[in-house]
Amino acid sequence: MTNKLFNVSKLKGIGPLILLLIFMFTSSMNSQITVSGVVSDVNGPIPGVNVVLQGTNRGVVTDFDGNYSIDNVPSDGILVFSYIGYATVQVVVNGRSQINQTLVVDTSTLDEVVVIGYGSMERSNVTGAMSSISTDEIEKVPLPNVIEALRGQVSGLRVTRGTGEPGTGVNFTIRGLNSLGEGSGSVGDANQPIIVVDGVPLPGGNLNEINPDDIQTINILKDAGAGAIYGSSAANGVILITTKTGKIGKPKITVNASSGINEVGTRVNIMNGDEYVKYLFDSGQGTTLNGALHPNELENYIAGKSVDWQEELLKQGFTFSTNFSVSGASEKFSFYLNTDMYKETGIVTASDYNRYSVRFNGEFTPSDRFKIGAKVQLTKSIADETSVRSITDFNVNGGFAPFIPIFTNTPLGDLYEDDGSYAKFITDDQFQVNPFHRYNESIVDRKITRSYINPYIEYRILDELTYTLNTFAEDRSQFFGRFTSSDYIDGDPSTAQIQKQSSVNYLVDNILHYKKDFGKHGIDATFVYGFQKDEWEQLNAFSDKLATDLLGYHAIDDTATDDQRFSWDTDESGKVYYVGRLGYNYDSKYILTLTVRRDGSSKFTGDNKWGTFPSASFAWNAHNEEFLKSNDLFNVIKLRLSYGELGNDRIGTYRYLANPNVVRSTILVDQDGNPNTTDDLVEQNIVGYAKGTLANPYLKWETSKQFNVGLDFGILNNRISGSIDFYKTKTTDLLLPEIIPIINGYESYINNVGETENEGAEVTLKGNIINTEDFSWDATINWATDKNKIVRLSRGSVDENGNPISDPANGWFIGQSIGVIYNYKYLGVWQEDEAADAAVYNQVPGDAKFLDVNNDGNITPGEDRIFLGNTTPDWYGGINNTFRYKGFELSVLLEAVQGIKRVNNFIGTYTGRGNQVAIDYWTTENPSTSYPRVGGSGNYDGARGDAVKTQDASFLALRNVSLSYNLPSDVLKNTFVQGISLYVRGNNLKYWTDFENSYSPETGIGSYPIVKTWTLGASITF
Amino acid sequence: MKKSNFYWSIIFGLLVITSCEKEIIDLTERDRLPTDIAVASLEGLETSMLSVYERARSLHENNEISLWQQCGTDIVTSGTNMVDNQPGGMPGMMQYGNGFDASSPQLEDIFNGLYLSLDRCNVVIAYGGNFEPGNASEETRKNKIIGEAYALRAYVYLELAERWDNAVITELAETVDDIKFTADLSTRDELMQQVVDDASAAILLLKSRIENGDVGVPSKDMAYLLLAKAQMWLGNWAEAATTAEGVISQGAQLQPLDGIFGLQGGKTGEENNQELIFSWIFNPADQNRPQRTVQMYVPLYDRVPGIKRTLEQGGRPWSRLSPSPYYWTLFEAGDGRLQAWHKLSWTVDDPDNIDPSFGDINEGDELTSNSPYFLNWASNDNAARYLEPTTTKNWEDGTYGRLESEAQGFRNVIVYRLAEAYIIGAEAYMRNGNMSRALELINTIRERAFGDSSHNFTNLDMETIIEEHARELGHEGQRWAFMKRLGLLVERVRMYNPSASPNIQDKNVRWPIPQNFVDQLGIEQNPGY
Repeated sequence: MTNKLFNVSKLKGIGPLILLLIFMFTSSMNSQITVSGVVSDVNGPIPGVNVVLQGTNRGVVTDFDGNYSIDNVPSDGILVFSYIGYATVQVVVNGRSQINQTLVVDTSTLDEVVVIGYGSMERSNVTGAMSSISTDEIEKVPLPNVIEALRGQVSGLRVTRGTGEPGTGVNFTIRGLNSLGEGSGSVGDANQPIIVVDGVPLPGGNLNEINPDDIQTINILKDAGAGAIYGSSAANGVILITTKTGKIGKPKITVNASSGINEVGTRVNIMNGDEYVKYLFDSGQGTTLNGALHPNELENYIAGKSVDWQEELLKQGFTFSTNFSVSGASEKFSFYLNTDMYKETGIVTASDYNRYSVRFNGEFTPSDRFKIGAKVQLTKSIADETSVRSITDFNVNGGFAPFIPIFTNTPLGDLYEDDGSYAKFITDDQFQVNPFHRYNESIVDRKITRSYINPYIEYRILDELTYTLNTFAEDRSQFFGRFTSSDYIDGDPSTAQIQKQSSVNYLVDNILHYKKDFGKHGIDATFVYGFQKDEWEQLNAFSDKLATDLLGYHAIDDTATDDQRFSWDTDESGKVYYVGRLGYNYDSKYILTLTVRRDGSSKFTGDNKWGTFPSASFAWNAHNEEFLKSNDLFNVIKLRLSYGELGNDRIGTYRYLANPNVVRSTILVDQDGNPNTTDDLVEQNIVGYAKGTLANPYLKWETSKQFNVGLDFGILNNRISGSIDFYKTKTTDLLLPEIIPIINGYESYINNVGETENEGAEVTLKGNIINTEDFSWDATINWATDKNKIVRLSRGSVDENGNPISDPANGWFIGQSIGVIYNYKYLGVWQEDEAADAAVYNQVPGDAKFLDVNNDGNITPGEDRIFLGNTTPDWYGGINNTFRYKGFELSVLLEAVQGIKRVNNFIGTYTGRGNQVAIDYWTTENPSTSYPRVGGSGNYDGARGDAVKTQDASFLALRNVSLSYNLPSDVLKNTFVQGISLYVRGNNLKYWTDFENSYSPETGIGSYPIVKTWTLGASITF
Repeated sequence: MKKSNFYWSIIFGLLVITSCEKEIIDLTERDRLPTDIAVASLEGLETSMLSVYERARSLHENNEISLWQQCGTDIVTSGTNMVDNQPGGMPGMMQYGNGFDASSPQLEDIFNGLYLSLDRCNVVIAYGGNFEPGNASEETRKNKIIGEAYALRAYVYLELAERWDNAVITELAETVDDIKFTADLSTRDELMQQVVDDASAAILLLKSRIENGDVGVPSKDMAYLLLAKAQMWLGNWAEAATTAEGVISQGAQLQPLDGIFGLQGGKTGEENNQELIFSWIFNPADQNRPQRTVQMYVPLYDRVPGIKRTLEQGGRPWSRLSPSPYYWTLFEAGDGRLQAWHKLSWTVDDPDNIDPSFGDINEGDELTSNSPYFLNWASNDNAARYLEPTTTKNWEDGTYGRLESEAQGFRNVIVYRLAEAYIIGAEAYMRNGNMSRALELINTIRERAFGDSSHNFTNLDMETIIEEHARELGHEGQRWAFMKRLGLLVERVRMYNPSASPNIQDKNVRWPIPQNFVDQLGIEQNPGY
């Protein structure tokens, strides 16, 4: 035996532990008794309390009735009673065989255990910048997407939503922008934090497929001290989500049902019939009604009939949500089972989203050393996207915009034919389509099935050393079907598309965790080796001229073979990593955490595959110092410092390879080889490859060096608490498409070239302002500001002195923010008395007046553009107030985003016969100074038009209101019901903004309108 | 003891897992070849050559720029529906408005399209030069590919020189390390000299149009024509005359008027007729890559009650461009081209929708913009143009499955045809003093137009050639550069193009260089922009 132990001790670092174990084993050979008793608090027995014999690894857990019994206790032994949320108690046995113990709730709330990457830790030992959100805050928001529910609640987390389409996600960033992505269109993606659910970084991660009800906590890692453990992809922050598990005690059954109504939040003011006719006249499209209007428009105008397309299209939508959960745990087994159904009927016909999910989290603890568990989720979502994806002939900003007809359709058109059916075209102009007709003649469905299983094993090798094997496998498949009938557009054939997408993602993490206190010294170390791989495939089939309209896209194969096409795409990426984290704390006063992660990624080649990401962070719990312990004001003063390097690899795969283009063409082949005979020529369709993208074998990670200093405090017995953080981030080797002169044969290629800086501050304050027995008022304020600037772009973008120069093509400028708006400065409208001045610029009164920066009498892109503002805000934040009176709770969340500018593209071009947003435009009778004259003047087109439409998009929003009522427990006494709660919740209720004529200050034309939601529901716990 | 086993198993497990690291991060793309493997072979070179066509052809796939060569001359004016276009696109090129400046994305599309084509030519010339042929047949194939690349490079340099005057003569960048961030602009004459060099190289390597049998492949005829054009720009009249003869002498024959722009017989039939020297091939098998020129010259005829939208009458109309009033004044009676290449009236074919309140018409009647019924119906100036006559050189019928509703087609886009060589030849001979050969050449065109020699010219001056150029080659994309070469562009546009006359300025004889290009290379912008 000794021999074997000796062998084992040769394993590095293990030897001392083994010796320690032997010591502990031998030291407990005393007279033994059995101790039993009941553990309770003021409310009665507590199940699940740990009772451990101090200095040993022997312990038991109290049963449902709070009973415990522990054998072989030395008569002079000490029992330690511990339970989360309660103060730990040590009791000397003193020969007693019966010890009943009362536990007291621990008031130091900051000492909760929080999830960090690859483990958890007492909050007081956390050295990085981290925000936590509990399930309560999420529950108050009636939304299916948990990130959207966080909106306005976390300092430094900015959530925006550009479309109200049911089931779609949101854009979100932590601490603003660092990366530029693969072009100005992908800045959002490139700056998106990674989302880690139960230890697994989600691939892509549409959080709509995760049920917010299943979430126990959300922790947001903001700085390098906290985030470095996720290395190569953590530069933009990490969102850690932990799902619920069963609690020891009787099974808890909860039924929750709610239903809600959705309505468009803000309507856009579109011209009515009279305004439209005036506009046609004013824009020079006619001088008489006869001349300006189509015959049916004239008919409707004379009859006084008009159509408000917005009114017709935007109806009331409904949501319906129900979930049923059962959870519980015994000493050896815990489980959480939740089934959930969410149905949303959109505010536009045929835009529904239904989600069904089942989650089972189970854990089996056969011995006190061994745990095995699995988290399983099945989600199915079924969406009808007909109204969002069927109308695709309106191309706005390079994308298809399905809701354009709301704005461009003439108010004098026909909604119905004489026979009561929907008119196909609302005038004889075929660009004036009737959306209702299109919805009837098309089908667009999307179905996503996602199943994932997350099994894990935890083995406590030694008291201090735990090995965890965390594994994960996900299979996500998506079906997308699209059909347009033969009556969809005049004369066009029917079309069908079926797309099948599947992705498989799997992960294996081996985690060793060592934690031990040596007197006042504490060590907490974690080592991880793991890998994750993602494989993606997509088969797309298209056909047209279907044999029938009756089967929708299912008739895709009922076509002539000439009318069938398909495409096939694959992609994959993988990552291997080694992680080490060493935490040291001295007397809970000084805490140091060192982290290093080495990542290998398939996105890069050769030596560049591997990157190392170190960080160091330090915290000082000043309140534990003797000289502060006696003060009455502060309960917590904690100073944090961190510095580290993080990476970002959010680019497409295989960018280091040159990919050819597939070339298809037709050649004529002379069959007999005799050029004088031409009737033997045959067409031959050929295919092959040609030069495509430029390979960049030098590609590597984008690196962010982040520095953070923060202060956490709690005063007046933690009635007021908060934290303040300042940070500075320098991102180098920015991955971005280096725009190169076209003479090289490429427009751009992905390269590590740029450099940005980002600095900011965040403040969170929580206050328990009033706290009486019946009434309480809690307030939370969060505020954040971040300023980023571009330091350097392309290699070639330097002037003769080597100073970096800007890239106006992408809208990126040295020294300016990533989202800066660079354009002409709109000064108003040339008035009649300024005709001579206007003529200098080849303009007439009524035209838009711009700042002539170089005063050369010409408005040209070369020198007359200036920086007009930013598409990212100066600051943003939220205020949440919660009032409780007896069983009632009212909570109100306001969100503010200030100092932000956007081009309002709801304001159209004011040419042609389409309807327009009603604005105060200039005419000779109405010499407006806000908007220039209409008609083909170019005042609303291109860069000049954008300048006219650039507006302040700052806002204050009433984001959430929640009123709930919990039935008093004495009412429910003697029933089997434990609790009933009734609630009314509203989301997105009101915007105060100058950005008018938009569905919200964050949206653009053509997207699904943003909705406000009122939900009524009840929750019953058994 | 159990524990020790556990450690060993962990370590073992880690080793096992480590060994499959390669499967996780050393991945190869499953559905794409690396470029060097895909393009290295002779087949790869051949398809690379196709990508040159594809690249240059793609300009005609974009609604905003598909007719960039046709816009802004004296013989064209804006159609009634031009307002739907982007200011930097067709309206800018057509009307020379403020929107067509160095920041126009459509301008950049054309510019980049041409430079990318140039680069693909350089790829073929460089890689082809390195290719060691294994036998005579491979040698032939290699020469053909390289010759085609030279011809198309000449074509691109000619376009760049004509539109921008100043352009960069490029070199191939093979890897990231070859990328250039500086370059010098070459002048128009230098660029024309490059056209001369490339076209001359191509002539030695290429077969004639007839021998090729495929209008989509550069031929000796095309190389000679490019050379002739460059010589005209350089003022080398004698060389230009000789090379124009070089085109004519390759053996291709002028075709009957109604056999040139039609689609009968499809890609191997009329679209491949001998008179066409070079076309961009569009292929209905590649449904994702249609061309967008077929609807541009069609007025909004189908809005007139009693006239249905049919492919015979023009299909879906977009009315972006329209022949200018001046153009119609150039034709005299008996000129067969007027009937053969234009649509002058519209047939009443929808009797159910005739509105008798505007006049008495019957099925089968031909309506023009002067018909009383139409004039009574047309309620405004715009509508009064819905039946104006137009050119049909771009039209497409149902040969390639086009439907009435489609604003796109798959007919080839004609780049050059033989008749131009006759007109260039006539001008070159005239300027060089050989009036008789000049008359012979231009009268060949006249005789075909009128069917006999009764309308032959007996003497020749520049004005006559300018007019004949319009009649013969109108709306085929040659006019802008021709007028510019003569120094008449601004003057004639002011006189004859109502939609452009208020705006055109002297600076418009050359296009602005895209601002990004100017910024990146630090080169000088063309004057006035």
